[in-house]
Amino acid sequence: MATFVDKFPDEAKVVQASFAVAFIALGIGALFGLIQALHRTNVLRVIDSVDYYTLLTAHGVLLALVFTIFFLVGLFTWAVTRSFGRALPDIRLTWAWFGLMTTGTVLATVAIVAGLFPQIPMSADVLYTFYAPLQAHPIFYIGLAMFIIGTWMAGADWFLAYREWRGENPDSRIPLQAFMVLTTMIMWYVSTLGVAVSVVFFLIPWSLGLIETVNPLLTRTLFWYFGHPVVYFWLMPAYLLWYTVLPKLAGGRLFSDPLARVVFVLFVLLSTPVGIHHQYVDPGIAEGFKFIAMTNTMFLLLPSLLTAFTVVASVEHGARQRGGEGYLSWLGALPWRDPAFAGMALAGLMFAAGGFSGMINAGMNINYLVHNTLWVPGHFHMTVGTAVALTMMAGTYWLLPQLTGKAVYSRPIGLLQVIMWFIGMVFMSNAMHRAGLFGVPRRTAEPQYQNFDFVAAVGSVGEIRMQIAFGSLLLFLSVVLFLFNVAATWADDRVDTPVDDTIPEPLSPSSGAPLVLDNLALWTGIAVLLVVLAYTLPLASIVNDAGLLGGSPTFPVTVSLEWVVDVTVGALGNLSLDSLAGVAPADAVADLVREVRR
Amino acid sequence: MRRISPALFLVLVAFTVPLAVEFRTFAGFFGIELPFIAVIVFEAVLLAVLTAIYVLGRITPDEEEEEGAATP
Ligand code: HEM
Ligand SMILES: [Cu+2]
Repeated sequence: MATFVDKFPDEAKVVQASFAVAFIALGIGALFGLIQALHRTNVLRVIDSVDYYTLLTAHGVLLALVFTIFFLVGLFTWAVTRSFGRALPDIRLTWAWFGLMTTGTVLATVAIVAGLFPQIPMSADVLYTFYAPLQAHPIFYIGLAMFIIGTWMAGADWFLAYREWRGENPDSRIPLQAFMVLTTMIMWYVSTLGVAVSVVFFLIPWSLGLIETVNPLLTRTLFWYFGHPVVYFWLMPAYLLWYTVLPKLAGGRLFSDPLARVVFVLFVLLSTPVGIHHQYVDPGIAEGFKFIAMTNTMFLLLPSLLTAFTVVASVEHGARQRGGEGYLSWLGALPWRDPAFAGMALAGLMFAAGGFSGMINAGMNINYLVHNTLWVPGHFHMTVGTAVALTMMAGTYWLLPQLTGKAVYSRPIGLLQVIMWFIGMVFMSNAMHRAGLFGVPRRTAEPQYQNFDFVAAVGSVGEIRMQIAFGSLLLFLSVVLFLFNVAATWADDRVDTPVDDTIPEPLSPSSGAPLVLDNLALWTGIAVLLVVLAYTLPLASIVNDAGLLGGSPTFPVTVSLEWVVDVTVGALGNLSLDSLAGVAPADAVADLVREVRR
Repeated sequence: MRRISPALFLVLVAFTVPLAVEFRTFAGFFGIELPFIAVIVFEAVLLAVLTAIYVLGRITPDEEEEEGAATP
């Protein structure tokens, strides 16, 4: 039976290449995650605490941006090609965006990892949120810009494919998977505008020394303008798999195509005008704007709950097709042996837990309790770190055979791997949430304070630490097994029917969906309008308060800091370092200067 | 006893972990303070029960199930 690679060999190569980059990023990111977790729990320290931010930046960028988005572009290329049933318009364009994204990734990664080597005058310890006042080497921002432009070109590629298809099928409904890809990309175009402005107009000129200061609140706000929609950019590939593939794996069909379309449209509309919910504690933004962001955020619960309903209903339908009965015992009739199914089901389940902790984050008043504590990494390792990452790994067990024509090397190893991820994440994330409740901060190598002890309501802080360390070890081993399984699959020989790749029609088909749902221009218009309403006033007041370029001097470490160093050294030189030796603040400054020069 | 596939058994084992980890918190709601060892004992009990169900399902499967029906 001909599968994807036989019908579209060129596209299959691009998808394979995208997955390969994603999996390399996953491997490196997971290693750094393990090192971090062991370091901050004081179980094993292989790096210097000074290098913690370098690893943390690499971890965040490689996993949250590179792994997820490279998997996404691969998956979307597969989905567009498959659901339109035709080759992409020009495969050179496809390779061009892949090349641009990969080059950008390499540049950004080199800039980050160079921070580990004092001999190399380059660093980018700015975390994956990369807003001012932290400053990176220009190469980091330039790499990011290339990466984002690459994703724009990928979107253009898919829209061109849509135009060609539309030309020949003027009256057909957009196939569901293609509809999901196109709506997700509309959201991406609207939201990446913010980060592109921030990078191109402020961060790159600033890191090159062309402008001396930036307005940190402005770069933060522009980042979060993009930073919330990006979470849906991670999530939409997982949703695409849950809606269109998971029901099939369960032995059934999607419950409702129209409902799936409604959900994706709601995400286009609501995912951008909420970014300020990441800035509840930022001074300089009026409470009223924060309140509006919170209200919009709560509306986003609607599509999430619709998804939970539709997907669970479809899976239950599948179980009953397989002979499952009763109120709950149908769960036993599901194909748990299939790592693709088991992984996605466990990921969806953990997403429910992550959703609950997300509602705590979203509430303006309770947010203060957990803001910037380890609770927050606890939350997003359940959402992006499991709902998305585990769905992607599980989906690979079904997709890779179609892309390579090879059967998965070992399904038992696959099953073991997804279960290990689930257990590891229960340990790590749950303990992170708890630690956050006692106030343990995130983003620090040394979470302990002098003359202060964290107190656990139940159990002890030491136990919590051990849970984080043990969980991270299981997670890392799970990634090792995954990568081994994938590599072994790739190295295998081709077989005739590597996997059953058919996707049955939904129970309630697209013909029942109101035509207006397919009116992409309308939804884009409303989305832009909502963004304008939500952001014009806050941005105007931020610029009004501190100016477009603000007055923040550069914070730590990079080449363009030279002038700060020179001025300081000059000033200290006049004072004579030695005569001040022993005066604590002067020593601290001298140390700092040495550190910066390094 | 209902026959459970090895895969479903593994998944159920995974589900015992959050129950055990939060067991003490749950007891805490009722003012009962349990030592750490209680968690280990609780997890061991859960695993023992699961294993018993699994093994019994293998030795004496329900009559109406033909071989492999519930072994997806
Ligand atoms: C091997 C599995 C993983 C381990 C052991 C791990 C461990 C950690 C730890 C301990 C932190 C918190 C550090 C701190 O705040 O001081 C962290 C942060 C983070 N992790 Fe993971 N993680 C893993 C997988 C993932 C995955 C799959 C993703 C996303 C797809 C992810 C995304 C992030 C992000 C975005 C941060 C925040 C970085 C920042 O604060 O700037 N992690 N990780
Ligand atoms: Cu958000």
